[in-house]
Order: sequence, then structure tokens, then C-alpha cells
Amino acid sequence: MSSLQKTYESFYHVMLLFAFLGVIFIPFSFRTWSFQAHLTQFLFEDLILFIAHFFENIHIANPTITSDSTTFYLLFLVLFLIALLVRIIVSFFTFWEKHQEQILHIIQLILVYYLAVIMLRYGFSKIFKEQFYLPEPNLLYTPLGMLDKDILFWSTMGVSRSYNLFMGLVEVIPALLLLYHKTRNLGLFLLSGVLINVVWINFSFDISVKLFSLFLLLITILLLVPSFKNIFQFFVLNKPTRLPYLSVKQIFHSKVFRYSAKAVVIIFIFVETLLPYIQSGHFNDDKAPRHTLHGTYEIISIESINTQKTIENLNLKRFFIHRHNYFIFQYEDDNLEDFHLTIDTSNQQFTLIDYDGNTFALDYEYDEASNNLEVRSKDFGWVLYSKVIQWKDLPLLQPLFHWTVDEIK
Amino acid sequence: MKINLLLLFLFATVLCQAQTKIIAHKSHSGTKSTFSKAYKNNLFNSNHSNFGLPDDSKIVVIDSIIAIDEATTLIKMRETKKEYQYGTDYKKLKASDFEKKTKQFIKHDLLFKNNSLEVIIRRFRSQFQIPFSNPVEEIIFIGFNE
Repeated sequence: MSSLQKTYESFYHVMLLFAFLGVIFIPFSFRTWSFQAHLTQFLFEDLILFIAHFFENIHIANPTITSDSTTFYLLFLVLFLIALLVRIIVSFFTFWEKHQEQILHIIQLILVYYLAVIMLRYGFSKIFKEQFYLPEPNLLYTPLGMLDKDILFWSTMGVSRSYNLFMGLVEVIPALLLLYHKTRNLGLFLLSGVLINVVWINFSFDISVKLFSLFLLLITILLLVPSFKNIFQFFVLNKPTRLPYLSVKQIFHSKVFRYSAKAVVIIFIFVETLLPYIQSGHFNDDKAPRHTLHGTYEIISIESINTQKTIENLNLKRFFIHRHNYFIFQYEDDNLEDFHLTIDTSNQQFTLIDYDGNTFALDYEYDEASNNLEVRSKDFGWVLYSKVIQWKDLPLLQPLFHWTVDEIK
Repeated sequence: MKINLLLLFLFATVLCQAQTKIIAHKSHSGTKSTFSKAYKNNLFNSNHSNFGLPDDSKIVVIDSIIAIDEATTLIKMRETKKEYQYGTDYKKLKASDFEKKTKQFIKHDLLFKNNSLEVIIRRFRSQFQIPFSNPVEEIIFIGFNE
């Protein structure tokens, strides 16, 4: 074996080990496997902060390791260095020389199943309209030019159920192909295209899953590497070829073990991907119930009340109640201001909290017959008289499809 | 005072984060500067990691907070053994779904014996690091300055 080939093989081993460490330590939001985040934080947080300490330019606003945080990038660096170190150390052991094929094969299989679980999670969350949700009313009333690229992309995706179904299936089908050894290469081949698109979207629209999507693409490429030569022969040289495939059978000869392991994997996949939707009964998040006060309110008039506090910003035109506990004011110049919200329905009170921890109490009265909402606040020094706007009647949320332009009236 | 919050909104405090942190923040018209504050101080559960996916979380219910001495405070709480999807009603869960936990805080900014109970109740949800599901009014406070 030439030294170049040896270096290439060693590098491939390092990358496989790195990907394997990533599977173990990347704190992904598994539903049934939440110890990962704690384990990673416990093992690596101090080390990461220690490393960061040496670099003046590295700023850590929050030490928790989350998607695209500075600590997440540093975790990748640490895992890569560990993989490199492990590969160097194991090369001195005869056990590695004897069993490296088997060990690498097991790692490749783990990576295949990891990729399948992750892609099924993403795929089903699109199919059930949970990832790209219906845009909230406050976004629908924000002028387009005032939105950032990322939230605009997310909202655009959120208005088309059929495109979400398509995108979900594009992820689910290749992920299912990964589960069967004969279709595994096809699944990887399709997923490489899907993931290149995802990575490009994340970079182009500044969506903060850049590093993780790159990691998934890396796994896909690493698993495709053994087949590259054959794929090239087939597609470019037009020669008949046979693709090498990964199979559990090649490693584990015991049928009982194989079937038990498969059963565990299938149950895990089911619990991670489908069970939560079955449990909640929500298969389309657009139709999931919202609070009765959720929505958009047009301000009809504002009245100042006697208060010792200064009345601020009476240039209000709308306010919104967000499905996830936020109260948002919109001013005449279309700027928006959001507050965390708690609703006390028995006392008809809103409690707003701003980002500095200041609390504001608001009393409200809602008239169901007229859809009028009156909001009174001594803290702000005003009474707002408002009326519900039917935000679901906006053109963006209407069905729209034409085979021909002639149909458009 | 009996507070009867609507469950959907109540649990949303714990489970509201969907998608990436920054997209979830922008979905309620949060700005970059408020995101920075929320992220740095873990406000309103802004630091959940979700890799662009809808997020499930463990549900936390705080039962009581006990001021032991000037510096030490104990929090008696229950945390679900597994994670639940957004909108899950904690009152519908069985006692066996939870495990009891006690957390000790030394020199907490808000929870100290001489602090007024009124101030603690007013600021607890926004300033306490662990998001919890039950209303503050249902928590039993022992040993604080009434």
C-alpha cells in the first residue's frame, strides 16, 4: 500500500471516529434520550471554556452547547482532536490491526441508523406541519422588507402545506431506504442531494443549523466514500458495476441478536418520530388549537388614564397575541415591540414582562359578541379599545393554484 | 388568590420553543438586541437547543421554596422522567411520570430569606433559571419575609 493511500485511509478512519463521537456527544433534541446534553455539558463545558480562554476573538455569550453556538463549534474541534488522538493511539495496538475492519463497519452501521433517525425526525416534522408552522399574525402584518431573510424563508415555507408534504417525503423516503441493506446506497445517494440543498439554504438564509447540517452531509459522504469509485464507473464511464453495501449480517452472525437489535432500533425510531403525533392527535399543526384570544387586534381608540407614570408611545395601531406566550405591540411606523405574556383568565389579567425583567399588569375585557377587546393598564397609563381582525382572511393564507394564467380573474 | 391560567398558555412557558432559537425569537417579532439579552440570560426559555426542529421538553412543577438561612434556599420540585410535546397538560400526567428533585441555591439573586415575598412572586417566573409549568401562586414559599 502506498504512503498516500495509507494517509488517505488513516484520514478516513479519523473522520469516521469523529462522526461517531459526534453521534454520541452532539446534544440533539431526542425525545427519549435527553442525557446527551447533560453528558456533553459535563464532559466538555470546562474544556471548551478553557480553550476559548486562549483566543481573544472568541466570544461566548452563553456556555450552553446548542445549535451553532460558539461552544458547539468548539465541541466539534475538541471531538476532531480526540478522534485524531484515538486513531494515533490505536495504531500501536495489534487489536486494532486485527479488528479494524469490523470496528469501522460497526461505526458505519451506527452512522447509517443515526442518519435515518435524524432524517425521519426532520421529515415527519415537515409532513405534520410542525417545523415550518403557519406564520404568526404579527409576522403577517409586518411589512415584507422589515423581515430578516431567515424568518421570511421560514414563513414562506409555512404557508404551503403541499410543499411541506413534498419536502417531508423527500427526507422520509431516503431515510427509510437506509434501513434496508440493499437500498442503503440509493438512500445515501438521494440524501446527499437533499442535504446539499439543506446546507445551502441554511447558509443562504442564515439559519442557525449550519454546523449540524454540515455534519449530516459529512456522515452521508463518509458512508458513500467506499462506493465512489463504482458510482463513477457506472455514471461516468458507463461500465457495469456492483456497489459494495453495508450489512448487519456481515458483522453479527447471530440471528437472535440481529432481530433483537433491529426491533430496538425500529421501536426507537417509532417513539422518536411518530408516537408524539399519535399521542397528541395533531397531524397538522396549522389546525392545532390556539388560545381564544390568539390573533390580531386593530386599535380603534386610545384613552389616557390618570396615572403618575409617564404615558409612552401612544402611536399604537395594532397588537397581537402570539400562540407561544407573547404580547406584541405594533406602532404607526410598523415597528414592533414584544413582551412575554401570562394570561390569567379568571381575573382577566395580562402580565407582560420585558427583556429587562420589568413587569406590567394589564386588565382586559373581551366581548365575544362584538369581538372587541378592551385593555386597561395603569402601568402604561392608557386604555386601548380594539377590535379583532380576521387575520386568516389575508390573501397569503388563501388557497391559490392555477393551471393557466387565463383562469386568473 | 386562585389563578386559573389556560393550560395551553401555561405549558407554553416551558415548551414554547420551536425551530431554531433565533427563528423562534423572530417569530414573536423579537429583535436582534432582545435576542442577545434573552440568550445571554436564558430568558423565557430562549436557550433550548432544537436544531431547527419543534422542541419537546421535560415538564417541571415547582412545589415549594424554602429559605433555610440568609444564603441558602431549597427548591422542592418535580420533573417528568421523559420529554413531552408542546401543549401537554401536566395535570393529566400520573404521579409516577414525575421524579422528585431538590435543588439548593446559595446566595441566589432573588431567593434569599430577607427578600420580600411580594417581590419574589412578581419576579420569579422571569428571573428563575429553570422554566416551570405551574402558576407561581401555587408554589408554597416558606421562611421568606412576608
